[in-house]
Amino acid sequence: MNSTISILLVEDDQVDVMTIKRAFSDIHITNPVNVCENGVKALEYLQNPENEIPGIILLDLNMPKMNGIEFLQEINKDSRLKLIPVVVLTTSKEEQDKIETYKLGVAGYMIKPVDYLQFVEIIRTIHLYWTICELPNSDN
Amino acid sequence: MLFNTSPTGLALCKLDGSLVDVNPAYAKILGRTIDETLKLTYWDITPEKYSTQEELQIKSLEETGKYGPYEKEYINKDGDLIPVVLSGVIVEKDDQRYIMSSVEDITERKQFEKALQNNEARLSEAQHIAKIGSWELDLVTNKLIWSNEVYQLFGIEHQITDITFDIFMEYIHPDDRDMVGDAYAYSVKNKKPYNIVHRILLKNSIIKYVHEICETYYDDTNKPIRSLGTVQDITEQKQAEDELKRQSLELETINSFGRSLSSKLELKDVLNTALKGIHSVIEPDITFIFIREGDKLILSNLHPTNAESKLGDIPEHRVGECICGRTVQEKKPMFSIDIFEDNRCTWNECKQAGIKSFAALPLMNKEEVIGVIGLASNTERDFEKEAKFLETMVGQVSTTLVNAQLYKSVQVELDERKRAEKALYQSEEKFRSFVEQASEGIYLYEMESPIPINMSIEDQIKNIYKGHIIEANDSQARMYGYTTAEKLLGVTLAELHGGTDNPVNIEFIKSWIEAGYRIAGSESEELDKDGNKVWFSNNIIGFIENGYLMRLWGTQTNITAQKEAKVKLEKFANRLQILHKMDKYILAAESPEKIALSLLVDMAKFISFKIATVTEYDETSDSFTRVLVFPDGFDSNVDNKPILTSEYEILDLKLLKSGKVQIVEDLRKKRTNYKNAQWLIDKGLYSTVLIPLISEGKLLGIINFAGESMDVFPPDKIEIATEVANQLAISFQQWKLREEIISYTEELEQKVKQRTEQLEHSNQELREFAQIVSHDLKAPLRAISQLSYWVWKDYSDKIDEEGQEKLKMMIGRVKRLDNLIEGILQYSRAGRQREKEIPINLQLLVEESINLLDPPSNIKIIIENQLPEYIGDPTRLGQLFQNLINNAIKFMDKPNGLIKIGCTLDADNWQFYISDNGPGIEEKYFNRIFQIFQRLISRDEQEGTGIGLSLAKRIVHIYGGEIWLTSTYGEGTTFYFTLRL
Repeated sequence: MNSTISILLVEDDQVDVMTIKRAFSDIHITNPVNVCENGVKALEYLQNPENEIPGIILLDLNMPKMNGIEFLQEINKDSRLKLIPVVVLTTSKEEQDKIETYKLGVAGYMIKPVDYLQFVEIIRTIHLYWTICELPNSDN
Repeated sequence: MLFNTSPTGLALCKLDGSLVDVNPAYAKILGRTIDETLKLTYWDITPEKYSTQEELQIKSLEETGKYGPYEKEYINKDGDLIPVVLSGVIVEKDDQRYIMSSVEDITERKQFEKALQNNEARLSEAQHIAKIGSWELDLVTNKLIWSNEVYQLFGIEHQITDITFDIFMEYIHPDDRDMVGDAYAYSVKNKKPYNIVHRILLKNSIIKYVHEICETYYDDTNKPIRSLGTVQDITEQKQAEDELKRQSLELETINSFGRSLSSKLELKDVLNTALKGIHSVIEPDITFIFIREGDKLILSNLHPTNAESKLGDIPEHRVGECICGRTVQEKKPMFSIDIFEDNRCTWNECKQAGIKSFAALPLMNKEEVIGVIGLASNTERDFEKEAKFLETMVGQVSTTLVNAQLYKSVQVELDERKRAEKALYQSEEKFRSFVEQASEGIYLYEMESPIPINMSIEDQIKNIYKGHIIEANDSQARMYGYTTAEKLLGVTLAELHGGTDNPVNIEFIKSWIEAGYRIAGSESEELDKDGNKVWFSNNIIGFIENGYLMRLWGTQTNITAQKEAKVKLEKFANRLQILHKMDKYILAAESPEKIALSLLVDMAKFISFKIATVTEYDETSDSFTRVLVFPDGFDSNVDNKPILTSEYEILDLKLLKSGKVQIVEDLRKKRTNYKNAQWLIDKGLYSTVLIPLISEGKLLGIINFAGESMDVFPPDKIEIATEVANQLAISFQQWKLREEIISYTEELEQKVKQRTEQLEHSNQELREFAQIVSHDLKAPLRAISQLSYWVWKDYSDKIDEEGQEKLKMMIGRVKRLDNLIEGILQYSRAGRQREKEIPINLQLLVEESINLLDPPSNIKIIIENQLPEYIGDPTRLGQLFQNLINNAIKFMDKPNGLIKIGCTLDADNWQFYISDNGPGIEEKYFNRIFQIFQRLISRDEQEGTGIGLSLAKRIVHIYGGEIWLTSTYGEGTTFYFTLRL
């Protein structure tokens, strides 16, 4: 992965943000991480032309104001934004959530483990997958 | 001399055409005398139109010295044209050149020719119209000549082919070839014309029927030389005949089936009659009837009966299976011309039995299919062409099946009727023996005064009544209830006949007079001494003297018993008929009003009421509401507004409620203000009969009959009407019950709908609750876990060992709480209604579960038999097996662990077992282990939530099963559970 491409983390839980950031640093991911605490903020961030388009979005589902599914519905309306790969990181094991998010084109669906080390493993897997994966040029 | 006597006309003329001499024959042709003729020139008698031809003939004369013969016409004396043929030569006489012509009148020949032409044209036309062709066979050269029609008939291009007898034979239908050959040979040998009908098979496989007539001619040595014949196309006629035969057979089948319904009461026989009828009309190879029992089709009848051996055992069909089963499902007839090409046919036995074409027709009762009639043919048949007839028969058979129940009930009535017939027969027997023992009554009757036989019959009858008995035997007296004959002497006929105006008796006397004062076996209706009605059969001879009726001799037999039995039987038949009809109406009608209407129509045929109303009684409001007014319907006087019992003044409610008939002989005497009574009185309807409709002891309504007087309501008719009313009441009651059931069902459905909605709502709430628990409870838990981990990791140099140990324990307890929350979530999810069920291969599911659990190497897991497929939710069933297997692994205390999994099948369930050779469970804990959060070993010894088995129990219950265990403490445990099929 190009270490200059930014990562957008949409997450309202402070500890979860800390956990993810710490996991990044533990496995030496140096890409810039931008955090938005809900869907509304994330949309504003993405629609602001001054901000760089992120290479990947890590998305929580349960958030105030605009939840993850609503956020996915919004970016699906924008031909530019819908190209960004989204990985869901959530506590929800609901079948319904899985079906709906995959329908909205997410690249993956991960359950947040309680155990930190397992969390690190998940982040490592996402990173690995993303490194191997070919992504469309964001200028397209 | 020759010139004058020649029958041929001869004429001599100059070259300019002037006639010099003619013979009488010539003059005759022209219709003139010789002298008249000689005044003419040749040109005078030749019509203008021949001038060119004449000039050519003259030219020929000059060149060759002769002309002709050629045909032309002469103008005769009357100006008519006479056809002639003439020829001539140049003759020289006295150096003068003359033309000598011979002329013949060909009028007759011309006429014949014309007639012949006409005839030929007419014959040809006639042949064409009648589709008759003619042919001629030269037996010497074997050459066959056909007329145009024969070519057309045989479909052969005209005269392209050289026809021979052999080619002709090729066109004859193979099955008829020998017959035609033999018939022709016989005809030739015996010199008899042949006259046969046979088929011909054309190149395009069309079959035609032809009628051939042929006669052979012989030479002097009796050798046949020539056959002449005609051939007529009678295909249409034949088809029409066949169609007629077929139609009459169809009609006969339908009729005879109808008749069989009334004669044979065994359902099987009736169905057999129907089946045979269908078989004889359609001529398939097999015809059969399936009767539906639930979702099975049971073979009821088969024709021909030996078809079974051919088909082998006919297995049960199920609804939806094969063509018959599909017919039931789709409620419409199905036709298959070729079952091998028809994917609806799934029953191989049919194909193996050589069946090719098939038809299946559903037997319907209203909207429900109650059976199937099937037809099978070994050759290709399009049964759909017979659809119309089949539908008629199927309709009849359906009705029969539906009526079968009805007939069973009618059977009882019929038995009763048979008893009545028997009673009649017995009474006849008795009567006969009575007559044999006591001889007939004999009497002599004298007129008051001689009656002139030329008097009008009416006056004669009046006078006859005035005469009296002058002689009688004891038997005669006994017939009238007297002990001795003396008592009868002097009694007048008027007395015996109970008056002089009984139409039966007047008719009887009238016919006696008309028959010449002689009659035998004529019936009279008389009164005995006590005024009882007595019927007699009479033989009477009158004595006429000089044109006056003086006296008469009579013999009498008493036929009262016979007569009464007959009347009784007739009444019984009437009653039976109406009851029988009612059953039919009940079966067919859509509402009780319609049943009532149909019944009133029938009752009107034997009770001369003028108006009938059917009224419904409502106990709660104590009021009556008319539901039907016959025959005129509702109007401004008679409406369907409720009438309170208190308003219904003429009504005796108590009487009617007790089930008795209320009779109002004369409404006028009631002096009522009741508007409807007044209305009836205004119409001249003074008598009314009110019959209660009672079912299960409750008054449901009344039928009210109104007529001019009580004469139209004799007791026996009221009796029948009451019976009908009872039946009608039952059908009313049934109808009400039916409507109640329908409304109750609707209500129930509504309730189910509401409950389902409530359930869905609470399910939704539960889902939302689970969502909240999983997220809101787990998020802080995760935070604690991670933060404590980081504290332990990042500050390990600043916290002593004891502190570190406590942090580790804290992390452990957080994990345990997480497992608990997860367990509760699973448990609550398992409790939801069954949804998204799919067929699951349990063998694969269990194998996957074992892989997932990754048992340690010292534990061996064996699946002892192939596990079945089961329809359910794969997540739940996975949890079920995983929890049980996981327990067996988790608690295993033996160095060589053995876990065995298997299943058995009983009538309703699959039963599974998971046995282990682990520590075993004491029996006192058998119940406890299935309770949520209950554990037998502390968490610190063995991690666990205490949810696994209660979750397993919950899942098993969802699939209608049970879970239990057997265990020997220290040796092992077997868990059993069942899943409902």
